[in-house]
Amino acid sequence: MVRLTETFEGLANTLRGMETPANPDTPLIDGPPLANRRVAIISTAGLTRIGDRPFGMGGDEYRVIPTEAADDLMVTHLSTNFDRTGFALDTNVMFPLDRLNEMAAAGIIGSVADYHYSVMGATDPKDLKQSADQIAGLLKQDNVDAVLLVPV
Amino acid sequence: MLGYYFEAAGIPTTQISLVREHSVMIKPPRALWVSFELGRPLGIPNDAPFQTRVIEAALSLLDRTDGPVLEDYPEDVPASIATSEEDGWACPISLPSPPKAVDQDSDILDEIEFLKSWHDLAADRRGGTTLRSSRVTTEDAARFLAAWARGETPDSPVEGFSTVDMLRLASEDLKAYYAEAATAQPAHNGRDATSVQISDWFWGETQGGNLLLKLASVCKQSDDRLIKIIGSALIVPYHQSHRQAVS
Repeated sequence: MVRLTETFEGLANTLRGMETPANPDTPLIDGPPLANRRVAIISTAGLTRIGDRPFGMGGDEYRVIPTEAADDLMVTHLSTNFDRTGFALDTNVMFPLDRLNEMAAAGIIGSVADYHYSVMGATDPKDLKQSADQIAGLLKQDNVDAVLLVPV
Repeated sequence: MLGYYFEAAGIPTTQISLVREHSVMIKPPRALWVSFELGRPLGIPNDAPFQTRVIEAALSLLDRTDGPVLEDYPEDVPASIATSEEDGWACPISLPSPPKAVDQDSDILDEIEFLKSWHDLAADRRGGTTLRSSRVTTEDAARFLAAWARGETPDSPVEGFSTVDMLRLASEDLKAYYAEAATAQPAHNGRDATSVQISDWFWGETQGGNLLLKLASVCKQSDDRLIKIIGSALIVPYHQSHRQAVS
């Protein structure tokens, strides 16, 4: 396997040095078989729709990405240390909505959520708690019972 | 942490992880570690079967309630971390001139114009573009950045965007323009250029890359803390930080 951390040693050292607080014990939730689940994507790539306000430094808010209007997305994440050419070729490499739609059509998953969300992954996770709670409420309204969290 | 926030709110969560060390430390509820490069959590652009296998593997972890779960995805991508020298890739676009000092706008504007047809081809194939985070044209973004690279300090041309915002967003738009133009090219030896190859081309062979190298060095000297941060960390990626601008 190719190990990115072996190639970009300086970046790897930076990431290893970042604070990663341990989580309190949280029981994991059970649910229906995958073929009956409603799945939403949460991206930490700082995705916004073209025309929406880009994420800024320390941005702790979220953006809404409707399933039916996800054609024009841009990456406004703060970091310059990840590849963006893949996204230029195919947005599914960061935001795999087409794949989920195909999986729903094939019966692999039950359905795709009406709305997906993005936050800015460079923000301290502790500062994202309020947004996460708001998103959770919206996901419940959308009857989502499975989140696919996609990093960048 | 986000995974735990959603799980604690009652929504089962699984995630893809790109940096295994982080997942080991954070212990998210359910995580599938992949060996792919940062920026490509689903592995290979335009490879639906590959991406689907990754998603299925991540979603299959939802059956697990004995967390925290950390599984290693067994499938790798083809050698995606290659350099321009290792396999002899050269960008098919022959730029009109090598990088020059940022004394005037004409060099960068000429290059942007030269790349326009390739960029438009890429946009047609993709059905759109990822540009416009700065809300100005690529040419105006380049003019703004070139002025700052020459030591001038124009204000942001966009109402509501600070100068710091514009420096970052205009830089990203310029990079995206070149990346989209470069990815319109026919595949080399049966496969597309890698992210590293495109990055080496941009930062080593283009006016655009040279402009941003110069900009970063100027911003690093700023008395403004945020502009200094922009120059130090948010324009030039770490793996290209060894380069110096042509002056």
